[in-house]
Amino acid sequence: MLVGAVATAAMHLTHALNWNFAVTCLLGMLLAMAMQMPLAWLVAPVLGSIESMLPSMVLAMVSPMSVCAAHLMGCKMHWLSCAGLGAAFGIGMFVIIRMQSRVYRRNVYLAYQCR
Amino acid sequence: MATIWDRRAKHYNFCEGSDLRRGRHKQALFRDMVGRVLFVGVGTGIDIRHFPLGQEIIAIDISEEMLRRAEIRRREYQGVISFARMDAMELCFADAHFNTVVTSCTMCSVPDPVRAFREFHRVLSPRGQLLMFEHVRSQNPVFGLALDFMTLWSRRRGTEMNRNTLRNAQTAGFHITNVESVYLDIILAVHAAKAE
Repeated sequence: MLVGAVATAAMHLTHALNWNFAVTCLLGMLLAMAMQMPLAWLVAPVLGSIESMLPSMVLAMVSPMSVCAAHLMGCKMHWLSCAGLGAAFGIGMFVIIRMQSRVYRRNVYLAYQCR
Repeated sequence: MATIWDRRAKHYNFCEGSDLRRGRHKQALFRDMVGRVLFVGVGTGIDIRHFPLGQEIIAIDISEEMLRRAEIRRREYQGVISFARMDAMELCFADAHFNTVVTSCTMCSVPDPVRAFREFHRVLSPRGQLLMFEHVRSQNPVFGLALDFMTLWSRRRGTEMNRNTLRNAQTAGFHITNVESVYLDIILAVHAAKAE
Protein backbone atom coordinates (compact mmCIF):
# COMPACT_ATOMS: atom_id res chain seq x y z
CA MET A 1 0.00 0.00 0.00
CA LEU A 2 2.78 2.38 0.95
CA VAL A 3 4.70 1.73 -2.27
CA GLY A 4 1.55 2.25 -4.35
CA ALA A 5 0.65 5.45 -2.52
CA VAL A 6 4.14 6.93 -2.69
CA ALA A 7 4.74 5.95 -6.34
CA THR A 8 1.39 7.32 -7.51
CA ALA A 9 1.77 10.54 -5.52
CA ALA A 10 5.25 10.95 -7.02
CA MET A 11 3.81 10.69 -10.53
CA HIS A 12 1.13 13.23 -9.59
CA LEU A 13 3.78 15.67 -8.37
CA THR A 14 5.73 15.44 -11.64
CA HIS A 15 2.53 16.05 -13.63
CA ALA A 16 2.00 19.17 -11.51
CA LEU A 17 5.15 20.61 -13.15
CA ASN A 18 3.15 20.90 -16.40
CA TRP A 19 6.05 19.85 -18.60
CA ASN A 20 5.82 17.81 -21.78
CA PHE A 21 3.56 14.82 -21.14
CA ALA A 22 6.06 12.11 -22.21
CA VAL A 23 8.92 13.69 -20.24
CA THR A 24 6.68 13.99 -17.19
CA CYS A 25 5.63 10.34 -17.41
CA LEU A 26 9.24 9.19 -17.74
CA LEU A 27 10.41 11.40 -14.89
CA GLY A 28 7.49 10.30 -12.71
CA MET A 29 8.26 6.65 -13.41
CA LEU A 30 11.92 7.13 -12.51
CA LEU A 31 10.93 8.94 -9.31
CA ALA A 32 8.44 6.17 -8.44
CA MET A 33 11.17 3.54 -8.95
CA ALA A 34 13.65 5.54 -6.89
CA MET A 35 11.16 5.57 -4.01
CA GLN A 36 10.07 1.95 -4.41
CA MET A 37 13.56 0.45 -4.25
CA PRO A 38 14.60 1.63 -0.78
CA LEU A 39 11.14 0.74 0.56
CA ALA A 40 11.46 -2.77 -0.86
CA TRP A 41 14.99 -3.17 0.53
CA LEU A 42 13.76 -2.11 3.97
CA VAL A 43 11.32 -5.02 4.16
CA ALA A 44 13.59 -7.51 2.35
CA PRO A 45 15.12 -8.89 5.59
CA VAL A 46 11.61 -9.83 6.74
CA LEU A 47 9.83 -10.85 3.53
CA GLY A 48 12.81 -11.87 1.37
CA SER A 49 14.45 -9.92 -1.43
CA ILE A 50 12.45 -11.27 -4.39
CA GLU A 51 9.22 -11.43 -2.41
CA SER A 52 9.47 -7.71 -1.62
CA MET A 53 11.18 -6.38 -4.75
CA LEU A 54 9.08 -8.03 -7.46
CA PRO A 55 5.50 -7.08 -6.51
CA SER A 56 6.55 -3.61 -5.39
CA MET A 57 8.35 -3.02 -8.69
CA VAL A 58 5.33 -4.09 -10.74
CA LEU A 59 3.16 -1.92 -8.52
CA ALA A 60 5.48 1.08 -8.88
CA MET A 61 5.26 0.69 -12.67
CA VAL A 62 1.52 0.15 -12.97
CA SER A 63 -0.09 2.41 -10.37
CA PRO A 64 1.58 5.69 -11.52
CA MET A 65 0.31 4.97 -15.04
CA SER A 66 -3.21 5.49 -13.72
CA VAL A 67 -2.30 9.12 -13.02
CA CYS A 68 -0.91 9.49 -16.56
CA ALA A 69 -4.13 7.96 -17.95
CA ALA A 70 -6.22 10.34 -15.82
CA HIS A 71 -4.21 13.34 -17.10
CA LEU A 72 -4.64 12.15 -20.68
CA MET A 73 -8.40 12.12 -20.15
CA GLY A 74 -8.21 15.61 -18.68
CA CYS A 75 -9.00 14.50 -15.15
CA LYS A 76 -7.07 16.44 -12.49
CA MET A 77 -6.82 14.72 -9.14
CA HIS A 78 -5.75 15.92 -5.71
CA TRP A 79 -2.50 14.37 -4.55
CA LEU A 80 -4.31 12.68 -1.67
CA SER A 81 -6.70 11.02 -4.11
CA CYS A 82 -3.66 9.84 -6.09
CA ALA A 83 -2.10 8.40 -2.96
CA GLY A 84 -5.40 6.68 -2.13
CA LEU A 85 -5.60 5.28 -5.64
CA GLY A 86 -2.03 4.00 -5.32
CA ALA A 87 -2.85 2.37 -2.00
CA ALA A 88 -5.85 0.68 -3.64
CA PHE A 89 -3.50 -0.65 -6.34
CA GLY A 90 -1.31 -1.95 -3.52
CA ILE A 91 -4.22 -3.86 -2.02
CA GLY A 92 -5.07 -5.15 -5.49
CA MET A 93 -1.51 -6.41 -5.95
CA PHE A 94 -1.61 -8.11 -2.56
CA VAL A 95 -4.84 -9.91 -3.49
CA ILE A 96 -3.45 -10.97 -6.90
CA ILE A 97 -0.29 -12.37 -5.29
CA ARG A 98 -2.36 -14.29 -2.72
CA MET A 99 -4.60 -15.77 -5.39
CA GLN A 100 -1.71 -16.65 -7.71
CA SER A 101 0.21 -18.21 -4.79
CA ARG A 102 -2.73 -20.47 -4.07
CA VAL A 103 -2.96 -21.54 -7.71
CA TYR A 104 0.77 -22.23 -8.03
CA ARG A 105 0.94 -24.09 -4.72
CA ARG A 106 -1.63 -26.51 -6.09
CA ASN A 107 -0.33 -27.11 -9.60
CA VAL A 108 3.17 -25.78 -10.17
CA TYR A 109 4.52 -29.32 -10.73
CA LEU A 110 1.86 -30.02 -13.35
CA ALA A 111 2.63 -26.72 -15.00
CA TYR A 112 6.32 -27.67 -15.29
CA GLN A 113 5.49 -31.18 -16.48
CA CYS A 114 3.45 -29.78 -19.34
CA ARG A 115 6.29 -27.61 -20.62
CA MET B 1 32.97 -13.64 -9.97
CA ALA B 2 34.67 -14.47 -6.65
CA THR B 3 35.44 -10.77 -6.11
CA ILE B 4 31.78 -9.82 -6.57
CA TRP B 5 30.68 -12.34 -3.95
CA ASP B 6 33.48 -11.39 -1.57
CA ARG B 7 32.07 -7.86 -1.72
CA ARG B 8 28.44 -8.99 -1.38
CA ALA B 9 29.20 -11.21 1.62
CA LYS B 10 28.92 -8.24 3.99
CA HIS B 11 25.26 -7.55 3.17
CA TYR B 12 24.23 -11.07 2.20
CA ASN B 13 22.51 -11.99 5.47
CA PHE B 14 20.56 -8.72 5.45
CA CYS B 15 19.23 -9.28 1.93
CA GLU B 16 18.79 -13.04 1.81
CA GLY B 17 18.44 -14.11 5.42
CA SER B 18 14.63 -14.06 5.56
CA ASP B 19 13.07 -17.28 6.77
CA LEU B 20 9.48 -16.08 7.00
CA ARG B 21 8.43 -17.83 3.81
CA ARG B 22 11.53 -19.76 2.78
CA GLY B 23 12.53 -21.40 6.08
CA ARG B 24 9.99 -24.21 6.26
CA HIS B 25 10.34 -24.98 2.55
CA LYS B 26 14.12 -25.23 2.88
CA GLN B 27 13.75 -27.47 5.90
CA ALA B 28 11.35 -29.77 4.02
CA LEU B 29 13.62 -29.91 0.96
CA PHE B 30 16.85 -30.51 2.88
CA ARG B 31 15.19 -33.30 4.87
CA ASP B 32 15.72 -35.45 1.78
CA MET B 33 19.53 -35.18 1.94
CA VAL B 34 20.90 -38.71 2.07
CA GLY B 35 24.33 -40.33 1.95
CA ARG B 36 27.28 -38.26 0.86
CA VAL B 37 26.06 -34.71 0.37
CA LEU B 38 27.54 -31.88 -1.66
CA PHE B 39 26.10 -28.44 -0.93
CA VAL B 40 26.93 -25.99 -3.71
CA GLY B 41 27.05 -22.28 -2.90
CA VAL B 42 26.87 -22.34 0.88
CA GLY B 43 27.33 -18.56 1.06
CA THR B 44 27.39 -17.20 4.59
CA GLY B 45 25.82 -20.42 5.84
CA ILE B 46 22.28 -19.10 6.30
CA ASP B 47 20.91 -22.47 5.15
CA ILE B 48 22.88 -24.54 7.65
CA ARG B 49 20.25 -24.13 10.36
CA HIS B 50 17.81 -25.97 8.08
CA PHE B 51 20.05 -28.99 7.52
CA PRO B 52 18.89 -32.26 9.09
CA LEU B 53 21.12 -33.11 12.04
CA GLY B 54 23.89 -35.69 11.91
CA GLN B 55 24.73 -35.40 8.20
CA GLU B 56 28.18 -35.44 6.63
CA ILE B 57 28.21 -32.59 4.17
CA ILE B 58 30.84 -31.05 1.92
CA ALA B 59 29.87 -27.43 1.31
CA ILE B 60 31.56 -25.34 -1.36
CA ASP B 61 31.51 -21.71 -2.39
CA ILE B 62 33.51 -19.62 -4.80
CA SER B 63 34.00 -16.81 -2.29
CA GLU B 64 36.60 -17.06 0.45
CA GLU B 65 34.87 -14.25 2.37
CA MET B 66 31.51 -16.08 2.30
CA LEU B 67 33.15 -19.21 3.70
CA ARG B 68 34.86 -17.18 6.39
CA ARG B 69 31.50 -15.75 7.45
CA ALA B 70 29.87 -19.19 7.37
CA GLU B 71 32.44 -20.62 9.77
CA ILE B 72 30.43 -19.84 12.95
CA ARG B 73 27.34 -21.61 11.59
CA ARG B 74 29.46 -24.55 10.50
CA ARG B 75 30.78 -24.98 14.05
CA GLU B 76 27.27 -24.75 15.52
CA TYR B 77 25.91 -27.52 13.28
CA GLN B 78 25.38 -30.88 15.00
CA GLY B 79 26.96 -32.99 12.32
CA VAL B 80 30.00 -32.70 10.07
CA ILE B 81 30.36 -29.97 7.47
CA SER B 82 33.62 -29.45 5.60
CA PHE B 83 34.17 -26.30 3.56
CA ALA B 84 36.07 -25.97 0.33
CA ARG B 85 36.55 -23.01 -1.96
CA MET B 86 35.56 -24.30 -5.37
CA ASP B 87 33.93 -23.28 -8.63
CA ALA B 88 30.62 -25.11 -9.31
CA MET B 89 31.64 -25.42 -12.96
CA GLU B 90 34.89 -27.25 -12.10
CA LEU B 91 34.27 -29.63 -9.23
CA CYS B 92 37.37 -31.39 -7.88
CA PHE B 93 35.57 -34.62 -6.98
CA ALA B 94 35.61 -38.08 -8.50
CA ASP B 95 32.75 -39.28 -10.72
CA ALA B 96 29.70 -40.67 -8.86
CA HIS B 97 31.11 -39.57 -5.50
CA PHE B 98 27.92 -38.08 -4.00
CA ASN B 99 24.42 -39.37 -3.31
CA THR B 100 22.89 -35.90 -3.03
CA VAL B 101 23.80 -32.55 -4.54
CA VAL B 102 22.03 -29.52 -3.09
CA THR B 103 21.84 -25.95 -4.36
CA SER B 104 20.17 -22.97 -2.72
CA CYS B 105 19.85 -19.72 -4.69
CA THR B 106 23.04 -20.70 -6.51
CA MET B 107 22.13 -21.33 -10.14
CA CYS B 108 21.21 -17.68 -10.72
CA SER B 109 24.83 -16.75 -10.11
CA VAL B 110 26.85 -19.42 -11.89
CA PRO B 111 28.10 -17.95 -15.22
CA ASP B 112 27.39 -21.15 -17.18
CA PRO B 113 24.59 -23.02 -15.39
CA VAL B 114 24.39 -25.96 -17.84
CA ARG B 115 28.11 -26.61 -17.38
CA ALA B 116 27.63 -26.59 -13.60
CA PHE B 117 24.67 -28.98 -13.88
CA ARG B 118 26.83 -31.31 -16.01
CA GLU B 119 29.37 -31.30 -13.20
CA PHE B 120 26.64 -32.15 -10.66
CA HIS B 121 25.53 -34.94 -12.98
CA ARG B 122 29.09 -36.27 -13.15
CA VAL B 123 29.73 -36.30 -9.38
CA LEU B 124 26.34 -37.84 -8.56
CA SER B 125 26.01 -41.61 -8.18
CA PRO B 126 23.67 -43.35 -10.67
CA ARG B 127 20.68 -43.11 -8.34
CA GLY B 128 21.76 -39.77 -6.95
CA GLN B 129 19.39 -36.88 -6.46
CA LEU B 130 19.63 -33.17 -7.01
CA LEU B 131 17.75 -30.89 -4.60
CA MET B 132 17.35 -27.27 -5.64
CA PHE B 133 15.93 -24.28 -3.84
CA GLU B 134 16.10 -21.79 -6.69
CA HIS B 135 14.43 -18.76 -8.17
CA VAL B 136 13.58 -18.77 -11.86
CA ARG B 137 11.86 -16.57 -14.45
CA SER B 138 8.10 -16.45 -13.96
CA GLN B 139 5.84 -17.72 -16.74
CA ASN B 140 3.42 -14.93 -15.87
CA PRO B 141 4.12 -12.30 -18.58
CA VAL B 142 3.99 -9.32 -16.19
CA PHE B 143 6.19 -10.87 -13.48
CA GLY B 144 8.46 -12.36 -16.17
CA LEU B 145 9.00 -8.91 -17.68
CA ALA B 146 9.64 -7.42 -14.25
CA LEU B 147 12.28 -10.10 -13.62
CA ASP B 148 13.87 -9.34 -17.01
CA PHE B 149 13.95 -5.68 -16.03
CA MET B 150 15.48 -6.46 -12.62
CA THR B 151 18.15 -8.57 -14.33
CA LEU B 152 19.40 -5.46 -16.15
CA TRP B 153 20.98 -4.25 -12.92
CA SER B 154 21.20 -7.43 -10.82
CA ARG B 155 23.47 -8.97 -13.51
CA ARG B 156 26.17 -6.46 -12.58
CA ARG B 157 26.07 -7.87 -9.07
CA GLY B 158 26.40 -11.44 -10.32
CA THR B 159 22.74 -12.51 -10.23
CA GLU B 160 20.41 -13.30 -13.12
CA MET B 161 16.76 -13.17 -12.08
CA ASN B 162 15.30 -14.59 -15.28
CA ARG B 163 16.91 -17.98 -15.80
CA ASN B 164 15.09 -21.14 -16.81
CA THR B 165 16.93 -23.28 -14.28
CA LEU B 166 14.71 -26.34 -14.68
CA ARG B 167 15.34 -26.47 -18.40
CA ASN B 168 19.08 -26.02 -17.77
CA ALA B 169 18.99 -29.02 -15.41
CA GLN B 170 17.12 -31.07 -17.99
CA THR B 171 19.62 -30.08 -20.69
CA ALA B 172 22.41 -31.42 -18.48
CA GLY B 173 20.66 -34.78 -18.13
CA PHE B 174 18.45 -34.44 -15.06
CA HIS B 175 14.87 -35.59 -14.81
CA ILE B 176 12.63 -33.29 -12.73
CA THR B 177 10.72 -35.47 -10.27
CA ASN B 178 8.95 -32.86 -8.16
CA VAL B 179 8.45 -29.09 -8.08
CA GLU B 180 6.91 -27.18 -5.22
CA SER B 181 6.03 -23.51 -5.19
CA VAL B 182 7.63 -21.43 -2.47
CA TYR B 183 6.72 -18.06 -3.94
CA LEU B 184 4.47 -18.03 -7.03
CA ASP B 185 6.26 -19.88 -9.86
CA ILE B 186 9.42 -17.90 -9.11
CA ILE B 187 10.99 -19.48 -6.02
CA LEU B 188 10.80 -23.25 -6.32
CA ALA B 189 11.82 -26.28 -4.30
CA VAL B 190 12.83 -28.88 -6.86
CA HIS B 191 13.70 -32.57 -6.73
CA ALA B 192 15.58 -33.98 -9.70
CA ALA B 193 17.26 -37.28 -10.49
CA LYS B 194 19.83 -38.44 -12.99
CA ALA B 195 17.92 -39.44 -16.11
CA GLU B 196 18.26 -43.17 -16.93
